[in-house]
Order: sequence, then structure tokens, then C-alpha cells
Amino acid sequence: MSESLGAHICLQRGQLGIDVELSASPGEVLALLGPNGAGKTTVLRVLAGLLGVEQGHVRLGDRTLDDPAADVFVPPEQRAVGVVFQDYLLFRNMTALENVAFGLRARGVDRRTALSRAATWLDRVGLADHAGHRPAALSGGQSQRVALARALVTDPSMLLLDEPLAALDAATRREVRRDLRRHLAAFPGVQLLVTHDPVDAYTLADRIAVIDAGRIVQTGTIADVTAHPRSRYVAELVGVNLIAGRSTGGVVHVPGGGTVVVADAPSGEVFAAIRPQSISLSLASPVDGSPRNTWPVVVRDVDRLGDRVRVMLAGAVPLTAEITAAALDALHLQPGDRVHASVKATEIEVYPA
Amino acid sequence: MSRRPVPPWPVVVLATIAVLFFALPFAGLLWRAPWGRVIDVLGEPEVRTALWLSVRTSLTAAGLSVVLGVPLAWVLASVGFPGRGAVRALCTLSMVLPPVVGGVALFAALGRRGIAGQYLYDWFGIRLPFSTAGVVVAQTFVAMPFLVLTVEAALRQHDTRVDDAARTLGGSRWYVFRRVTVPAVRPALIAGVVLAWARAIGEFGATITFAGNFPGTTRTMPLATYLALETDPDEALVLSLTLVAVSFAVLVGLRDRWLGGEAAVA
Repeated sequence: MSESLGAHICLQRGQLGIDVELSASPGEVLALLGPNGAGKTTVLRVLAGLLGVEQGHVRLGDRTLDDPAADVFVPPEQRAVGVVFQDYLLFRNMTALENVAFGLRARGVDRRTALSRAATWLDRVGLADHAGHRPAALSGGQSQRVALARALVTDPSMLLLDEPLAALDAATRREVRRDLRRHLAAFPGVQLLVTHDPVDAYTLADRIAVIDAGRIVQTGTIADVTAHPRSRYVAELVGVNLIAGRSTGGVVHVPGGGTVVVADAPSGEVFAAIRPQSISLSLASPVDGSPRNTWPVVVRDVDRLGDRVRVMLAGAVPLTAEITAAALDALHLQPGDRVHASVKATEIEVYPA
Repeated sequence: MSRRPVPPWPVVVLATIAVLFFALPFAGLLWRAPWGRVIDVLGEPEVRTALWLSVRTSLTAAGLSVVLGVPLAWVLASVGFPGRGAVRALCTLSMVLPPVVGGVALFAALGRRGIAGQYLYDWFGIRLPFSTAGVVVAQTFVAMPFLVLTVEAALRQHDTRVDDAARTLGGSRWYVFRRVTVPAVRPALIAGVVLAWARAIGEFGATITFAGNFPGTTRTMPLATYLALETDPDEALVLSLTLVAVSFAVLVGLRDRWLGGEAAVA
């Protein structure tokens, strides 16, 4: 089942022309990150077989799924591609158990075997108690887990997730994200995560492909894309400092020895997200009454993107700050300069890892 | 501020007249009914034959309407093709057509000398006019559009992405249609069946024109009722009451099953 994905997807959808090349290895989670209307869901539908490419191809392992030049198109029911849809799209007239068993029944597995394998999967996602419930009686987080079990029960070669957390409230999202990480880690095939939320991409994916107006504008590891956004657009979208650490009593301890004071944080392993725009730089240590973080840092690199400037900073807490060109000129910053970076505790978002 | 809207008085008056307009005929039927003769009339062999014929033919017509009408509704709702509007108009024309005209048209098509009927007879020896099968054809012809329109409307509301999800799970188009699409529109399907069946059991004009009025083979309850009114008005009243009772019983029966299904969800 260790099959790689290779796809070149060209098609026109209304006003939007899509031309996207994607590849992913078995076990890898690739996040397709972009705003609404960028063509993310169209790409997912092509991979699932719900749409065909006009030019290009889709290959999974040595199997060609779609190639108009060779007159090949494998319909979705023969693709072995599991999909977790946005809004989950559970079958309302079936119980949670029957929903999960659907894929097996559709493939001709007898009812008893199908239901017993479905029950195993429901148990695996922690919903054994809800087997007899219909989707209307399930919460958003429970529906998401039923949708995941339903997609995984048939042992697909590739798993596609369309905004799997977008329909959930913030509290549920944290919990579901953690469970999802566990299930994705256990899945041996290619995994593609479609999302508009950089935090989903950071916390769930190994690599990201940023899509804008039907084109991939940058691909790479998360650290790479975050540190070196190649366009204003990518910087806006993904340029968030994500700091991993262990949280105790409102302070996140970073492995390198630094600390981040946060306003409100769960205990344990967390990610602290700091927007580069919320970091201010000064030559002297600032004096301020509000709870804030101040770190002595060294300027490593300065990157101008129009009238905004990204400043890469080295220190106990590695950061990227974004300041105006005017502020840069006022500070006369050069690589190697020592400055103070500060940010208010209330401007830091914390997610459990 | 009043919480309930107070309707203007002309609306109240007109709505009351409408209610009376519907209630009065039933009241008349109940008031004039010769209650002492009900058992006798229902015991008559001709009456029982007509009743049984009506039940059989109308249920068959409702069944045929489902088998042919649901796929037709799906095509009209989901498949874009040139002339779809024209096809929809053609397939639902019999709903607004005077039933007698429908009967004449069926005769021209399926009669012994009709454009299709002559071959049915020459090749297969099938003669539809003046047969029980003819009754079913006439009933289906006028009843199916009710089901088609009801189910088509529901299918238009149906989220086709759910069907997509079913296909990615390994369901063929036909499997998904049977196991996902049709169950999703079940309430509309039930409503459509009830409407089509009610239209079929009350069918008069197309039946008498196309299938005739032969006791035992084509004389259904509406035909028997009309005939009785000329000879024995009391019998006509009893037959009418019977039709009301049968229709009412089926409606209530379906409603219970329907509600029972909904209750199982909660």
C-alpha cells in the first residue's frame, strides 16, 4: 500500500483556471493551503475522481487514475481513495455504525462482517457508545470522527481531508485536531489536507503547498515556508511564528531555554502562535505595565516585501518580525545588530500540540 | 405588541367559507347515508368485486408510478439535457389534461388500431382496451405526474455532495441511487405515492373511455358509484362512503408508518 501520488491537474472551473502539480510520498501529510476560491476543493475532487482533468494526469503508485491523453479515467468507486468532506456529509437516514459500514457494504462485504468491522473502527475513534445514533444526534466533533472512520474502514491507498476542522467550534477543534494527528500518523498512505487555516497545516501536515488563484505559489516544509515566504501573499498567509514548548502556569518553556508569557494556556505540550505584525522591535529594553514578553535577539536577516519588512531574529526564542519600511529606516537595522523584540501576552494564541 | 398576527376580518370570513365548502359535502354524505343498508350493500357481490378491483388496480398503478416515476424524476432533477423543460411538460401534461381526453389519447395509442396498440396485438396478442390492464394503464397515465413532480422537487433540494461521498466510499452510481439518493427523499416519495394512489383510485374519465365499464374487469368503484346514482342513490351514497373510508384508512396508515420512521430517528 506504499504508493506515491503524482498529479498534474489542469482544468477550467468557471472563471478560475487551475494548473497544479502535486506529489506526495506514502505516510506523508501534505497540506494544500490557500484562501477560499483558490481551487483547493477542486483539486481534492479531481484526486477523488469526482471531476476529471482536462489536461495532465493523476497517478497513485503505478496506477494511472486519470489521463485524458491516454483516455484513462478511473471512477471514484474504483479508486480506493478515502475522503473526509467538509461538513462531513454523513448519511442522515443511517446510524453512525451503518455510515461507517457503508463503504464495505458498497464493496459487497456481507452485512454481518461489515457491521463488525465498522464497530471496530467506531471503537477506534472512541465512539463505540454512539453506534446506534443518527447523525442528527451527534455533535460536530463526533460527526467528524464518524466521517474519518467511514473513510478509513475500507483501507484506502490515499486519504483526502477537506477542511476537516472548519465546521467545529474552537474548544472541540483542539480535541479533534489532537485525535486527528494520531490517526494521520497511523495511516500508511498519502494524505492530503485541504485547509485555509495555517494552524491546521502547521499542526497536522509535514509539508505544505500554498495555492493561490489556481496555482501553487510555494511548496516546502512548514519551517521552510514560514521562514522564507517567497511572496507577500505567502507571508500574509503562513508567516506566523509557531513556537513549540511545554506550558505551565501561563508560561511556555521553549526547548532552547527561552520562555514565553501567555495570557491563557492549557498545561502540557503546546504551540504558541505569534503573528509577526504583533512583534515590535526597539533598541532599548521597553518599559511597559502590561504583561509582555521582551527578548534580547540578534538580527539575522532582513527581507523587504514592498513597504513591509520581515526581520529574522535569532535568540532563545527564534522569531520573525514584520515591521514597516519606515520603522526599519528609523532603527537602521543590519544583520548582526542586537535589539529587543517584544510582544503582548494577549496577542499570543496557544494551541495544545 | 401582540405575538400572534391578527388576520384582517375579510380574510377570516373567506377562510371560514372555504372550510365550510370542504366540510359540507362530507357532512351531507354522512347525513344522507342509509346507515341501515351499509352492511347489505357491501355484501353485494358486484360491490365487493368493484371494491377489490379498485384496490388492486390503484395499488398497481401507484407501484408502476414509483418504478417508472422515480427514475424519471431523477433524470429531470439531475441530468441537464436540451429540451428538459419540454420533456417535463410532456410527462406532466396528463395532470392538467381532461381525463376523458387522456382516455381518447390512450385509445389512439394503445387501442387495437393505435400506433403502438396494433403491434402489441399482432405480435404479442396483448389487448389493453377494455381489460383490467387497461384500467391500470389509464390510472398510471393520470397519476404518475403527481409522484414525478413531488419527488423531482425533493431531489432538487437534495445535496448531491452526499452522493459524491457515497461514490468515494465505493458505491456505483446505481448502488448510490438506491441506497443514498432515494432514501434521502423518502418523505417526498411517500407523499408522492399517496398523491398518485389517491388520484388512481378516484380515476373515472380516462378509465371509462379507454377501458370501458365491464363488471369484474374494468368497473372500478368510481364507475360503480356513478352507475348506482342513476338506479339506486342510496347505494351510491354507501359506495362513496366506502371510498372515503378506504382513502382515509390508507392516509392514516401511511402517516403512522411515516411518523414511526421519524420517531426512530430521535
